[in-house]
Amino acid sequence: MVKLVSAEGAVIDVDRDIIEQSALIRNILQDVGDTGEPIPVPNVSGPILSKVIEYCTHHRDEPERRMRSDTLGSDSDRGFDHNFCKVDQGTLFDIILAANFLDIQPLLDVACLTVAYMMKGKSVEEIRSTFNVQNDFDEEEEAKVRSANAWCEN
Amino acid sequence: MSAIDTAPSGDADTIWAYLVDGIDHILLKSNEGFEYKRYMNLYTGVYNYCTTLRTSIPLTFSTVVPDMAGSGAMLFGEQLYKRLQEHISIYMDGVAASSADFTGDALLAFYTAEWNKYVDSAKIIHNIFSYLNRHWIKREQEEGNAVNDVNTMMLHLWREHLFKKVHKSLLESVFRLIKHVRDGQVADVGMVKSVVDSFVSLGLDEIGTNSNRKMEVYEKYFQEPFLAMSTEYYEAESARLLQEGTIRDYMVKIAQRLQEEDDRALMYLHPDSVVPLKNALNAALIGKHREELIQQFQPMLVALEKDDLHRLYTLLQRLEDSEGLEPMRRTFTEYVTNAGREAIKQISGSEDIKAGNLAAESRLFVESLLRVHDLYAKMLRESFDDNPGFSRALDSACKDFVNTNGLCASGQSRAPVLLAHYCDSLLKKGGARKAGGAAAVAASGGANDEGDLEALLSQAIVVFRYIKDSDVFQKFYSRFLARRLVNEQSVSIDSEEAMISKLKEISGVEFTSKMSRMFLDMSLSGEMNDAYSQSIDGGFEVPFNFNMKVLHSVSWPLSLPATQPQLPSQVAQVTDSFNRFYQLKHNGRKLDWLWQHSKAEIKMFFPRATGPAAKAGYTFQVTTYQLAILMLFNEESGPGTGYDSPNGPTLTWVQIAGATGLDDDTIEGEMDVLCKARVLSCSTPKPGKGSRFTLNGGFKSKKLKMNLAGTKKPEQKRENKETMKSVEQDRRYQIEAAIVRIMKARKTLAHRQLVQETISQIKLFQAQVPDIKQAIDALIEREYLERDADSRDVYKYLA
Repeated sequence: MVKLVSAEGAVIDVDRDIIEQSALIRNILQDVGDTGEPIPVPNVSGPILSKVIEYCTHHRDEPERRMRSDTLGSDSDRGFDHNFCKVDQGTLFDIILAANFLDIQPLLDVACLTVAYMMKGKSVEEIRSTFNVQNDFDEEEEAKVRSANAWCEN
Repeated sequence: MSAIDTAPSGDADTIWAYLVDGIDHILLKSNEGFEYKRYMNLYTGVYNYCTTLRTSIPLTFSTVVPDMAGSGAMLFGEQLYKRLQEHISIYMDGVAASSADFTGDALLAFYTAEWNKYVDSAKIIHNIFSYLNRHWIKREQEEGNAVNDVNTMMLHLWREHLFKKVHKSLLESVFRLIKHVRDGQVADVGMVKSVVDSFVSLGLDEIGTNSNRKMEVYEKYFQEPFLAMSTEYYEAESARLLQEGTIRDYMVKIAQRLQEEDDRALMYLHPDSVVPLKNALNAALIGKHREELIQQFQPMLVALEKDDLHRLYTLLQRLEDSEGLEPMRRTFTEYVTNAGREAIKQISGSEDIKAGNLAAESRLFVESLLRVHDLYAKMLRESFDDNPGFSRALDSACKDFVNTNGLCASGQSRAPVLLAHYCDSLLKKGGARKAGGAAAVAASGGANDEGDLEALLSQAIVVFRYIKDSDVFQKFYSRFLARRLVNEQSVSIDSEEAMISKLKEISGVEFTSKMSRMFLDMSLSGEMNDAYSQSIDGGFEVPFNFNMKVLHSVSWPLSLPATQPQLPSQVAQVTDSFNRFYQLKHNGRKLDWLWQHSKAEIKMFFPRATGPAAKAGYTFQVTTYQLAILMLFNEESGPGTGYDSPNGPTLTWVQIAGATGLDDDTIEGEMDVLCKARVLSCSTPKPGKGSRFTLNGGFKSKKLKMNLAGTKKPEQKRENKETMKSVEQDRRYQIEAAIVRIMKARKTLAHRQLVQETISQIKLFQAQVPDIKQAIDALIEREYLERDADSRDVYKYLA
C-alpha cells in the first residue's frame, strides 16, 4: 500500500501495483525505496488524483497495455476509456496534465485522443469557441498562417 | 530547509541552483538516501524548467501540453541538458583527477568503487530528468539529432573522462587478479565483475544503446586481450603439467581446471564471453594435445578403465566432432569389431563345435556375442553418456562381427541359422537349457522359470537386431517353430507368442505373418477335433483316441511325405471318416496327410513277458511307419496261417515292403530303431534287404512305456541344405517382384538405376548384383520386360 498526498494535502491510499502504472511513482519507489512515508504529488489535486487512480485500478491487470489510436470503439474496455473521458473540459485538461506529470502514457493517449475528436471536422473559428481560445493574431499574421496551411484545409 | 521543502520555480537560474544541489547529493552522498519529498521536488523542478519558463505568465492549457509546446520550451530543454552535461563533466574531471593518485590494485579498487556508485547515480538522475528524456530529448532523437538520454550521456562522460585514461592499467590489474585466482590465491573477483560490467555498459554508440555495435568496446578492450592472456596462461600450464606427470594425471588436472574456469566464467564474465573462453581453453588444453590423448583410448579400452574412459570422452567432446569424438568412435568401432571376432575365435576351437554339435555351437555362439555386446553397451552407458554417435558405432561394430566371424564366413548367412537354432533350443522342451549343462544353467542363474526364459529370449532379440540376412533367420525359425508345434514340444505357448510379437515389432507384420498363422491353425485344430469327435459319421465310432492338426500348406514349411504307407485298416478307417467330415465342412479343400510327422501310441503284449508287463503290456510311442510295420506282426501265426512261428510271423524285407508300401530308405531307418530297441529280432547283424524279421517274444524292459518315435535324429545337414535352398528361391522371387514393382511404376529405366532401386527396396537381405541381373534376364524371357531397341542399357516394362 502506498500513500499519496495531493496538492491540497489530502492523503490517498492506493495499492502499489495500481499506482506503479505511473512511471514517476514507480521510479520513486525504486530509487528511494519503499519507506512507508507518504509521497507528495504537489502538482495534482485530490479529485483529479482520485480520477487517475480510478483509471489505473480499472487497468491494473494489463501492464503491457498500449492505447491503439484507431478508436475509442465498441468493446467493453475501450468503452470504459470512452466513458472515463466524458467529463467537462476543465477536468479533461487537468487529467491530461496529471497523466503527463505522473507519466502514465496510456491515459495521456486516451485523453489527448478525446481532445482530438473534439476538434475533428471543425473550422478554426469553431475550435476557438470550443476551447475558448483568444485569437491573438492580427489579420496579416492570420492570412499568412492560413496560406501556409492551405494544404490541410478541406 | 526551506529551499528543499518546496519545488523550485521562478527563473531558470533559481531552479538550476536547486537541481545542482540535488544532483551533487546523489553523486556524492548517495549513501545518505533521499526523501520522497526531495525527489518529487527535483522532478518537479525539471518539469517546471521545461514547461513554465517560456514566459512568466501563469500556467494555462496551451503552454503545457508538451506536443503543443512552443519553441521557448524547446530552448529551455536544450539549455537544461547542456547545463547538466557540463556539471557532470566537471564532476568526472574531479574523479579522473583523484584516480591519478592510484596505480595497480589500488586503482582497480578505486575504479570499481567509483563505478558502482556512478552507475546507481546515473540511473537516479536519469529518472529525475525523465521529463527531459520524454520530451525534449525524444524530439531531438526523432529529428535525428545526436542527443542521448541522460543515463547514456552520463556513461559517455565516464568513458571520455575516466575510462579512456585508465583502461590500460586497469586491464593489467584485472588480468593480474585473474591470474592470482587461477593460481589458487584468494582475490576479490567481484572487482573483475565490476570492471567487466563497466566495459559492457560503455559499449555505447553515439546515439542510443540499442545497436549491434554495443559489445564492441567490451570485445575489443576486454575480451580479446583476455582470451590471448588465457591461452598463454594455459599453454604454459599444460606444458608444465605434462612435464610433471603422466598424461592420465594431466587429464585429471585439466578436467578440474576446465570445470573451475566454467564456474568462474559464470561469476565474472559477460555471458557472451563464456563460449569464446571455452573454445580458447579447449584449444590450449585439449586441442593441442589431442593426438596424445586419443592414443590413450585403446589402452583404456583394453583395461576397461571406465572412469578414465569417461574423462577422455568428456574432454574430447569439447572439441569439434571431427577433431575429438570422431577419431575416438573410429577406434571404438574397430576395437569392438575385433573383440567380437576374437570371442568367436576362442570358442571355435571347443570340442563341441569341432564335433559338429549344432546345439552347443549355437549356444556358445550367441552367448559369446552377447558377452561382447553387453560389455560395450555397459561402457556406452557408463563412460560415453549414451552418446548417440557411440551408440551407432557400437551397432555398426556388432553388425560387423555378428555376421562375419570365425564361425560365419562372409556371404554364408550362417549367423541367422545359428541364432535360429539357439532360439529353438530355448523354446524346445528338453532343449539347450536342459541339455546345455552347467554353463547354460550358470548363465541363467540356475533357475528355469518363465521370467528367465523371457530374459534369454530378449537377449536373443538383441542379436537378431544385428542379423543381416533376416530372411534366412525367418526361414529357419519358422521351420523350427513348425516342428515344435507339430510335435507339441514347446516349453510354453505364451513364450512362443511373446517371441513372435518381439520379432514383429522389429521386422514388421509381414515378417511374422506365416508364423502367426501357425498359431491360429493350432487353435483351430483343437476346435476341429472337438467338432469331429461329436459328429456322427454314419454311426462310425472311432476305435481309439484320435487327434489331428489341420495346417495351411502355405504357412507351414512342411513338405509332403517321401513315401506313402499302406495304413493298417483300423487307422485307414478313421482317416477316411475324417476326410469325409472335413469335406462336408470345407468342400473343395484337399487334405494331405503328413505321415512323417504323425505318431501313434500302441500297447504290445509279448508272449514270454513276465511280471506286470505280462498283464499290462508295454506301451510304445511309434511313428506311423513303425505302426504300419509292427501291425504286420500282429497277424495270426502257427499252423494253418501260412506263418510258421508261434511268436507270430517271420517276415522278409520284401514282404514288409510289399505290405506297407514304404520305400527302402524308410524301412531301413525304422527297422534300425525297432531292432535296436529289441522289439523285433533281425536275422542279420544289421537290417538289410536280405534280412528276415520276427517279433522278439522275450522282450524285456524296466520301463513299461517307451518312446520309439523320437529316437531318430532329424537329419540336420540335409534339412539345413533344403532350407537354404528355399531361402534362395524366395530371394529370387523377391528380387523379381521388386523389379516388376519398380518397372511398373517407372515404365522405362536404365540398368544401373534399376539395380540400385532394387537393392534399396529389399530390406530383409542384401540383394546381390549378379542375382539381380539373373532376375532381369528371367523377366525378359518371360516377357515382363524388354530391352530398349535404341539403347541396350535401358529396360521397358511390358504391360
